[in-house]
Amino acid sequence: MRPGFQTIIWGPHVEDFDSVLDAIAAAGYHGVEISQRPDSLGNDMHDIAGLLRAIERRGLTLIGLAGGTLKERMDFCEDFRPSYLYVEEWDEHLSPQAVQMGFRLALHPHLFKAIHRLSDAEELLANHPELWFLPDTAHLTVAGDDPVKAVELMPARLAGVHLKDWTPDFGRSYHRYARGFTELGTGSVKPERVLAALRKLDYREWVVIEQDTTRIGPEASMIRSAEWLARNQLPLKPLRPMSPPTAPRDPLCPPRTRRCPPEAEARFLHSVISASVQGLADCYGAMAEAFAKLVPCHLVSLWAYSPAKDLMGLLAVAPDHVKDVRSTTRKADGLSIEAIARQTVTHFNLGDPNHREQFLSRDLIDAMGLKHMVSIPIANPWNPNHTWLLANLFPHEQSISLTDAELAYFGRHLALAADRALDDRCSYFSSRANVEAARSRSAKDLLDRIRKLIQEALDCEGVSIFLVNDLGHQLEEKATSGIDWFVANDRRFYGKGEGLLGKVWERNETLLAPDATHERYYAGISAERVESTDRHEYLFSPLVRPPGGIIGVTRCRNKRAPSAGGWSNMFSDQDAAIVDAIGQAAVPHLSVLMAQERRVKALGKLVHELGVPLVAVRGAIDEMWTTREVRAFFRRTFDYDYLGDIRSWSELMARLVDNAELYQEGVTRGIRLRVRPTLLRKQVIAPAVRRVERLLRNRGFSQDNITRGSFNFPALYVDQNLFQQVVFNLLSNAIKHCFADPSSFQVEIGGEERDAEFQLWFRDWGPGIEEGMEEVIFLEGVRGPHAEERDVAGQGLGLWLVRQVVEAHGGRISVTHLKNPTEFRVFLPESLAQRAPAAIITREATT
Amino acid sequence: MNSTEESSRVILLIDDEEAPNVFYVRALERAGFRVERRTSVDDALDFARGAIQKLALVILDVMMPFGRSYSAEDADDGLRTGVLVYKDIRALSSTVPILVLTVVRNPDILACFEDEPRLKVIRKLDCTPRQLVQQVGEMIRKAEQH
Repeated sequence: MRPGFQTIIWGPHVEDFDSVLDAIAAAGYHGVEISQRPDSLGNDMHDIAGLLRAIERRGLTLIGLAGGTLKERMDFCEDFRPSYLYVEEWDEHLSPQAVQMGFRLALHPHLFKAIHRLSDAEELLANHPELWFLPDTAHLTVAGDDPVKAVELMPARLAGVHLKDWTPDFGRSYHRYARGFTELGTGSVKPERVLAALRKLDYREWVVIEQDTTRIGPEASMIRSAEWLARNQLPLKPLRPMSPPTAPRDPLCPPRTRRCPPEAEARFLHSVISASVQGLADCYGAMAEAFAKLVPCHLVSLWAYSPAKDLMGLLAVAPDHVKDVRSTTRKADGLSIEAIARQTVTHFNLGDPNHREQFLSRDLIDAMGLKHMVSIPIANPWNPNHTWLLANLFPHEQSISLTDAELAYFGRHLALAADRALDDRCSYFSSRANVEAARSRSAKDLLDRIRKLIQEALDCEGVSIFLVNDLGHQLEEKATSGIDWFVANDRRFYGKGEGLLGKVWERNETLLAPDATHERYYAGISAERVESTDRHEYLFSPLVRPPGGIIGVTRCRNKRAPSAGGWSNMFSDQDAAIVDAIGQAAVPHLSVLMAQERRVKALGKLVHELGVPLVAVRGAIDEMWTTREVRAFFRRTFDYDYLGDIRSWSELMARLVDNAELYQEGVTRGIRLRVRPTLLRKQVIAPAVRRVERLLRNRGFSQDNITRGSFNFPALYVDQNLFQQVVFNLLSNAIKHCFADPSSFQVEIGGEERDAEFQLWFRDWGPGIEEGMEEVIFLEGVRGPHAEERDVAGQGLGLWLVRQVVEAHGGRISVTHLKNPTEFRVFLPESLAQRAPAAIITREATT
Repeated sequence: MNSTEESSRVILLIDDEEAPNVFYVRALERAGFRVERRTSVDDALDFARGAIQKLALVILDVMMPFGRSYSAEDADDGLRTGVLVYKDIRALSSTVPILVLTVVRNPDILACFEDEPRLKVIRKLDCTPRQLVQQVGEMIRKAEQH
C-alpha cells in the first residue's frame, strides 16, 4: 500500500501550488492526486509536462486528476497516463473513448450524485468491466454502507482507496454533511478496519487521504493524518522539514490582482455580513443588492442550484421591481449548466444567437437591452464539489472592471454569509426541537410537535412523518398535518423500495421532487391534504439516528412562496438541511420515548399475566371459603387459619397488581378516572382498611390500631377503586415505616369540610418525615432516606401514585405535619359533591 | 329467582382463559344457571347467532385472540377483541344484558363500551365468584322487569 494525498483540502483556488507540493512531499506522502482544475494550477504547471516536472522533482508520483470535466482532464494529460482518472459515473460517449485511449477510469461513489450507494457502484461495475473502483470510506459510511465491504467487493479492480473519516455531528443533509469530514481517527468511520481489510487482500495500490475541509489548516491536517498512518504502519517517507505552515486556510483566498476599489470592497463585505444576520429569507435580497452595487448592473439574479434535477430556484433579484425574471423554479438553462460544470466565473455574450438561444428569459434580454451575462457559481464553503448558489450578473458594460478571480472571491464571501444565515436557522430549529422534546409526554406527542415544527420551519402546506415499524419491514404514518390514502386500510404502509418513500428509506438519501408524479418510483398510495392540490412538489428526508441507522422518513409537500422577501417556492437543499437538523435533535429523544413505551407495554402485559392466575387463586379461595365443610376441615386439621391467610395475601397481591397497572397508566397516558358518587367512609376507607389486614397482621397489629374519626362527607364524584388504592397506599406506607413496637403503632383517619374543600387526613405516630423531604417523597421511584436501612419493602411508587390520583381529581396532597404525628392531608375541591372532575370518563357504578 | 327458573336461563361466557373461569362457571352452575362457555370469539359468535333469543345474559372478557372474525388491527392485536364482540352481540340483540368481566383496567379500552343500562363492567380482581353470581342475578332480574 502506498499513501498519497489529495489537494482538495487547499480549496478550489490555489495561488501557490508549489508550496502545496512541497508540503505533501515533506509530510512523507508518496503521491499526490490533484482536485483543482488542471488549467488553474498556475506557475509552470499549465501543462502536463510542467506538472510532472514539478511533482517528480519532489519525489512524488502523480496519482490522478479529479478537477474540471473528464474531457478537460483527458486533454490535459496528452500522452501521460496517471494511475487513474476520478469519475462519478459512466459517460456513454466519453468513457469508452477514455478507456480506449488507455486511461483507467476509477468510479468514486459520491453522496447525492448518480452513484451514491455501494449497490449502485456494484451494478455499474458489473455492467462495465473496464471500469475501476475508487471507494471513499466516508461517503460510503454516510450513505449507510460498510467501507470494508466496499473494498472486499472487487479487490482486483481497486484503483485506489480514498481514506477519509467523518463525524455525524453536523447531520447528513446535502448542505451540511461535508462539514463532518474530519482527520483520520477522529470520526466514526474506523479507517483502521479498512486498512486491515486491505492488508488481508494484499492490496498494493494507492491509499489516498482526501479531506474536503478542515478546521486546523491544510498542513496541520495533513500531518495529523500522516501521524495516524504511521501509527497504523503505512510506509510513509521520512518527515522532512517543512516551510512554516500557512495560516489556517483562508477559504476566501483573496486574489493577488485586485482592481476593486477598497471602499467598494468594504461596502460589499459590510452588506453581505449584515445580510447574514437578517434571516435566511431576507439575506438573499440584500446579497443580490450588494452585487448590483459592486458591479453596476441592469440586473442581478441569485439562484439556489439543486443538482439532483438540475433545477434552479430564484432566491432574489436586484433591483427587486423587475418582474419578468420571476420564474421561481425552473430547469437550469444551458448557460448556467456550463458555468456550473466549469466551476468558474463564465462570461456569456447575449448577442450571440447560440447563447441567446440557451437563455430562458429571452423577452427580458430585449426588454432590458441585456448584452452580457456573467455567471458566478458559488460553492458550499464546506464542500467545494457542491455548487450551491449561482449569481447571474447583467452588467451595464460589456467588460467589467473586476477580474474573474475577484468576482469568485466576492462570491465566496456571499457563500460564507449565506451559510452563516442557514446555520443560524438550523441551530434555532434544532434548539426548538429539543424544547419540544422536553415537553413531550409520549412518542406520538413528540412526533406531532416535530411535524408542526418542520411545517413552520419550511413554510409548506403539508408534512407527514413515517416510521419504520418494530419488525423493520414497513414504513407507517405516525404524524401528519392531514393525509389521504388511496388504498385499502390494510395496505396503508410502504415497503422498502416501494414508492418514493420506500426508495428514500432504501437508499437513505434526501429526495427533492418538484413533481412527484413524474418520478420513476412514484406509487400514488398517499398524499398530504393541501390547499394547492394540483401541485405535487415534495421533499423527502430520512430520519436517522446520529450514529447511523434510518428509523423513518419525513415527507413535506408544496413549499409556499415566502411572504416577506425571497421569491422561490421550491424546496431547496437549505430546507433539507433544516429538516435534517430538526430530525437530528429529535431522533434521540424519540428513541428514548419509544424504548420507554415498549418497556411499559411489556410491563402492562406482565401485569395482566400476573392478574390472571391471581383471579384463579381468589376464585379457588372463595369457593373453599364458602364451603362450610372445607372451612371446618381446615380449622380441625390445622391450628392456623390458612384459608384466611391466603385470602388476605391474595387481596394484598391484587392491590400490588393494581399499583403496577396504575403506574403503567400514569407513565404512559396520565391517570384516567371512572367516577361515580361515592361515600368515602363506607365505600373507600372501610374496604381499604380491610385490604391492609395482611400487612397489619405481619407486623403484629390489627385493625384496632386504625381509628376513623366521625366525619360525614356527602357522596363525592370520585373514582372509587382508585381512591381505595390511595387509602391503601397511605396506610401501607404508615404500616411499613412504623416502629416495631405494636403498642406504639396508631393511625388516625379523619376528615373535615374547610375552606371550600373536603379535607382528609392520615396521621401516624411513626418515625416521621425529615425536614426538606416533604416533596421529595412524592417523586417517582424515590424512597425515604431510611427505607433501606430499615429494610422496608417498596419501589418508591406508592406516594407518587397517590398524588397522581388525587391531582387527577383536581385535588392535592401534602405533608402537613412532619412528626408526632406525621400527617398527610388530601384536599378535594368542593365541586366534587356536585359533579365529576373536568375531562374525565364518567360511568355508572358497579357495586 | 329459584333453581328451576335459573336452570332455564342460559348464560354465554366468552373468555379464552381457562383457569379463572372454572370457578365462575361452577358458582353460576351451583346457582342454577346453565353456562355455555366459548373460548374462541368465532365459536362464541356462531353460537350467539343461533341462540341469541335464549340467552339470559352474556359474560364477556376484553383481551382475547381476535380469531377469524376480526383483524389484528381492528382488535388492536387482541387488546380490544371484547369491544368488537360486544358490538356484534348488541347488533344481534339490543336487550340481552352484557357483563364485561375483565382484568383490564385501561380506561381508553373500557370507554369503548357504551354507557347503557344493560351493560356492566367489572374487574375480575374485584369480583369473587360469589359476587359474580349476585351481579348476574341482579342484572337478569332488572332486564326481565323492563
